Amino acid sequence: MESARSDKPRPPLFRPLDHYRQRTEGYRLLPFRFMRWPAKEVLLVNDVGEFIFLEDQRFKAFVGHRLDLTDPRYLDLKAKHFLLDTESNVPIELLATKYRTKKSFLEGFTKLHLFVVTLRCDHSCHYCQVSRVSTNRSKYDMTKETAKKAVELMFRSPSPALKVEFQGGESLLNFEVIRYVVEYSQELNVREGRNLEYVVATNLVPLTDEILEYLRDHSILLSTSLDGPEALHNSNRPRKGNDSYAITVRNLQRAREVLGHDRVSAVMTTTKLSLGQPREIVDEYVRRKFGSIFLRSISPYGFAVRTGEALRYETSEFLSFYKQALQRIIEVNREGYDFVEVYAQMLLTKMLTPFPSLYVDLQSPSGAGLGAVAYNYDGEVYASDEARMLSEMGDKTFRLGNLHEEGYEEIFGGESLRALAAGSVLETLPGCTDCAFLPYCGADPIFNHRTQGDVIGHRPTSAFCSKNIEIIRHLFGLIREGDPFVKDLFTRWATGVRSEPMTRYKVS
Amino acid sequence: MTSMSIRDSQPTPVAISLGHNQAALEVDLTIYAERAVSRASYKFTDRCYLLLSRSEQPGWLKVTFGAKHEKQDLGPLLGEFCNELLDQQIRDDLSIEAGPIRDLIVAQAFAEGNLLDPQRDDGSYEDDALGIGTLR
Repeated sequence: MESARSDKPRPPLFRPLDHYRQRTEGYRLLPFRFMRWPAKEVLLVNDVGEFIFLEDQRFKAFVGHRLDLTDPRYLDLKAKHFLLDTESNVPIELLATKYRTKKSFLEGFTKLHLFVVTLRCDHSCHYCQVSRVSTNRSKYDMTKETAKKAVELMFRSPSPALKVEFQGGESLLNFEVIRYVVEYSQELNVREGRNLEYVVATNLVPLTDEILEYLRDHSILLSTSLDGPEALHNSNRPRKGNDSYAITVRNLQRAREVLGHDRVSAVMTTTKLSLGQPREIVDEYVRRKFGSIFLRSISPYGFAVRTGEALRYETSEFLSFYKQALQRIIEVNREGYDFVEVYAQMLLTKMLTPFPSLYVDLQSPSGAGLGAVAYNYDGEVYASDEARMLSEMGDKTFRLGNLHEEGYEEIFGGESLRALAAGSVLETLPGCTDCAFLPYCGADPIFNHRTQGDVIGHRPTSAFCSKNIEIIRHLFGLIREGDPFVKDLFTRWATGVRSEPMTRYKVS
Repeated sequence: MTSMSIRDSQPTPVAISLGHNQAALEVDLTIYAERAVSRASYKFTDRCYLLLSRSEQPGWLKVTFGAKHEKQDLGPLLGEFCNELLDQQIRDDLSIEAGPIRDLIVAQAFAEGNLLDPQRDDGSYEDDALGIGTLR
């Protein structure tokens, strides 16, 4: 047997050495976008988010095919797939694999299912995006019949993981339907075998011991609102008795004791009043022992527009607030408290890792309808919660269908969603196609429609665009400043991994 | 590729003052692609009004700038526009050179098979074309 093998002429295992030898006749440019940077530098970003800074002169030489093989940045450009100097297909295959990974948020289709179980609410928040109605109008509650249809439609989604988020109004005012959705979905899931997750968005006011025990027994997460210190929170979130802050803090503590500390998160909304208190807001979150904060600007929907609050500050004012708050967050981390800014974290994940963000506003095509869908209390289905808010204002452009009238194919395969998807591919949008930050950014066609009159939008005057560009530029700027603590912090946010001190590897 | 040519001893694109609150540039289309001019113009639409039209001189394109408010000085905008035009021309050259590779990468990313080397997917490990099994 052994001799038979050795007698057989053996083809060469490797290609001739010349095949692997460095070509000297030049290189091809691989696709990338670029942006001028201060101090005569240029930022280059390729389609999979790899980036490199080049001095202006070196950039000119590079795009002019005059960069020498011995240039110290040549191999960096090659390793990061900005140039191709071999006949091998491997770099293209690697880029295709990375591109597929960057777009992996598309796998499984709609994962987040928002159940708007009621529009009733006891708060009268100035910025409320939800067009809330008062607490005693139960005609604004979702019925069990509608909830049943929504659950059944949700399971038509092919995703192996489904996230159910209960929204309002104040969602706990219709706890009976929350309970029904949880139990009916779990009943169906015996056969379906999906990974189900539940989140209740609530102001915590209606929280009872019975509700808490139920949430604990069914592993349900809570998400609440905390806008900052007491005076700011109560001003932003007025209710009868002016005691929103006291109730939130008290019930936050109760919820943590029953559910576990990390089972309750909070979000904040930036109002005009918030703009002058970036440090105080961050410090309030730290004092309440939260691990993160999501610095959100106000949205141009619902009650926020009717009260004029949406118009009360410019994007530039929000950006100034954001940068100050982020600076305070970095300080807090430097002082030894692990604390994350969620929006920066999502962007840094796209900037520093091969992975995408699951946040629908940072996806291309937009996650509206593709990644998330909203079932309104009345059975109407919308591409997102923002689309639902828009309909409350009389604009039903992004209505996908009705649970009682249309099936899965009509709702998710209809013209509304197709148009939304087609109009939200950044790679085809004017202004975005040239932008170096495209791989990190996302499309918000509903915001464009609301603020600029069409889903494509006008980039030079878009608040969404200027906000994202400036935040991404700021994050790059902080990375470029070279503070090792900030670089380590951002890497930790992006990857979830804390780099260990080198001493760990020393042999004693 | 992006060098400026000279017309009437002036750097091109050639700036023309049209009087009150208006100015124009003429762009040599043997140097700049129309796509580059169009994309550069789009980026300025928040700061002034723009109109693209054919120049009286064949092979040139005219970009007319209109002020958005009475006291707006269009001078600095013209300079910035020229720089933007250079960058847009680089982008246009890049898209010509790397565009087909970009299309291939995206197609391969979402393809079921191997677009780059179809024969590889048709092969069978049993054929052992490189004779790796003989090493055992």
